[in-house]
Amino acid sequence: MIGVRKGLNDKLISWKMAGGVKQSAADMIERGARNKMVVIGFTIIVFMVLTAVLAPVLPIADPTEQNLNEDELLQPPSSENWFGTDELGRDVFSRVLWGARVSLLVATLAVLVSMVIGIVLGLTAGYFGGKVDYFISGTIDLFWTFPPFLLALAFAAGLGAGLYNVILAISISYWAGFARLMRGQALSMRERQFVEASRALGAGHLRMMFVHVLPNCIAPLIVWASIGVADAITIESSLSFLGVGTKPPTPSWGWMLQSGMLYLDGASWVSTFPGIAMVFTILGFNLLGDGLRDVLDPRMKGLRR
Amino acid sequence: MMPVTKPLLEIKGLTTQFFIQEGTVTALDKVDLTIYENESVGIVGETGCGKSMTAFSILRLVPHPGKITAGSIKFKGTELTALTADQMRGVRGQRISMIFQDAATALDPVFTVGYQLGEVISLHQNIYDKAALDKKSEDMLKLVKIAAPASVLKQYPHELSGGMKQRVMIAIALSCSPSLLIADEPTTALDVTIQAQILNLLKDLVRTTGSSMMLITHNLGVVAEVCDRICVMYAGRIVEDAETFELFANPKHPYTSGLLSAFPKLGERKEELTVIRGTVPDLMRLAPGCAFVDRCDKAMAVCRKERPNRVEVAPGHYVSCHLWTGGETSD
Repeated sequence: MIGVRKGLNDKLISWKMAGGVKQSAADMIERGARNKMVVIGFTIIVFMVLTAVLAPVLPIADPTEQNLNEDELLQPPSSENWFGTDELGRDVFSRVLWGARVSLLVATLAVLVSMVIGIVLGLTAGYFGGKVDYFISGTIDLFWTFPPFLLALAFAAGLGAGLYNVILAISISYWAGFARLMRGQALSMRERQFVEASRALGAGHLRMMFVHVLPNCIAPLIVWASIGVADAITIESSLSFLGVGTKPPTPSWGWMLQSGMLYLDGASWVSTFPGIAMVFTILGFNLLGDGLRDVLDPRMKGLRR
Repeated sequence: MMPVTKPLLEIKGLTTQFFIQEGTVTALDKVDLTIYENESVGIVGETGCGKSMTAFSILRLVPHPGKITAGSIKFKGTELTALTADQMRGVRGQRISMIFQDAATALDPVFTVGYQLGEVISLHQNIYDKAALDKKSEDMLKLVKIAAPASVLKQYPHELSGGMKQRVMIAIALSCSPSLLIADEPTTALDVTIQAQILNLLKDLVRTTGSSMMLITHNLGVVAEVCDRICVMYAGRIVEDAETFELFANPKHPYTSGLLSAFPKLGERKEELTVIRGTVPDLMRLAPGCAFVDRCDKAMAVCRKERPNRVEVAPGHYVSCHLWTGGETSD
């Protein structure tokens, strides 16, 4: 025990001597590269993004091309159709690849939009406090009350199916988390002396908010965004699964899961492969988010691994 | 003795109050203070006596729920309390600058020193050219005697030592050649050897740049070293105001004498330090008389009833105490 405590102390001391809270970008990348979770998560994401981006130029079948010959429907995986074919004779492999495009696009855009809304509202609330905070926090809590998926479902149903409507629905249901996180960060950050100091040196509100408060709060936002993308993929797939997401024939993992469900008995590959791709991608983003939390949190520095 | 110069900052009857649920806290109570050009004035007093609040009031940065409720602050003839928020922003950093107690927390941890210096310069002087900004920033770092300024520009605050950070802070504060520099306990967070370096630096810089300085501290040794004149504050009031030598030689206010005798002298053996008995009065329930009356050995009947006026007991030596307000009040 004593040995462990001593080792811990030494590490704490070396952390303090290394300068404590703030690290340079190069240092951060180096520590990210040493974190297994970050490396694995990042690799998975890069792989998925590459497939999504390269899907149109890869030598694969057209994902929407139907082949209604009796002997082409619901075929098991073979050298020709790696992941088999679905009930309309379409190549599942190609559809999974194209599905990554939709899922990643929707999830990334939705998280970006909710992040912007969340940052602006949360920063305003936390920075100004008082009545502004009261009003914005009330709105945040109102949205926060509903589980994001239910809210997204309600909005998606109201707006109708379609790529941009799904993005909008997810953004509306997801921004409150960012806003809350940002508000809390801003609240503690605005009391810091460097904000006061920049004010004493003549900075205005906008400059203090966006140049001094925001960059100091960015680490937890990055973590939240990474995990948020994973969440958004789940929400998007669930919406498509329920038929209020992207419209067919756009290949979407959720939609594929749903249509394959009917054939789970004899042709399980129709929904298994999109399911695996989904789990794989979500795992990637969750690993990255978790790993980044450790890397960006100075208290963890040198204490683990 | 002192060259006749124009007043740079004239504060008259400045009152700053905080309106909290339990009542009204009078943080500054009719403060009169004049700072002349090219002069260093020390503001001394114990914690909570209103030293920092005087600085924040001058910059109009009194935190909520505080307000300046009365008085005037004239800076080069301009009434600061009447300026708009935008005009006031132009004053901060450019004409009146401030150095904070702990440079480690007053510098933004996510930006390089160069960025933070450049930010203030471009903000007030509308210089946006990167090379020009860097050149100017480097000159400022040279001015505060930082070795290898070019490399320090690229460093983050956490890479610098405490003394270096305070030097950077001073460089930032002086980068737009302000007429008045307010230093709020600039050496409290530093060890003694660095303290001396920083104080000497401040002294030199004020002399060479021709600006004035208001040095806030609770350390009498610090003011004695740097300041031309000292104002002693107690419970939000300035109780004595005199040139440094005069104040140390002839303290008139019982609080000032108390402070000076509480200050341990080098080479003197003492088992226990002299203290001023009692504690600071509650700023929410100040009696009408002198704020120091409960702790004063020389308190008289009048001290409880009337607040003493400020009188000039010697040329340039002002004191607010009934002992000196004239024969009619003492018995």
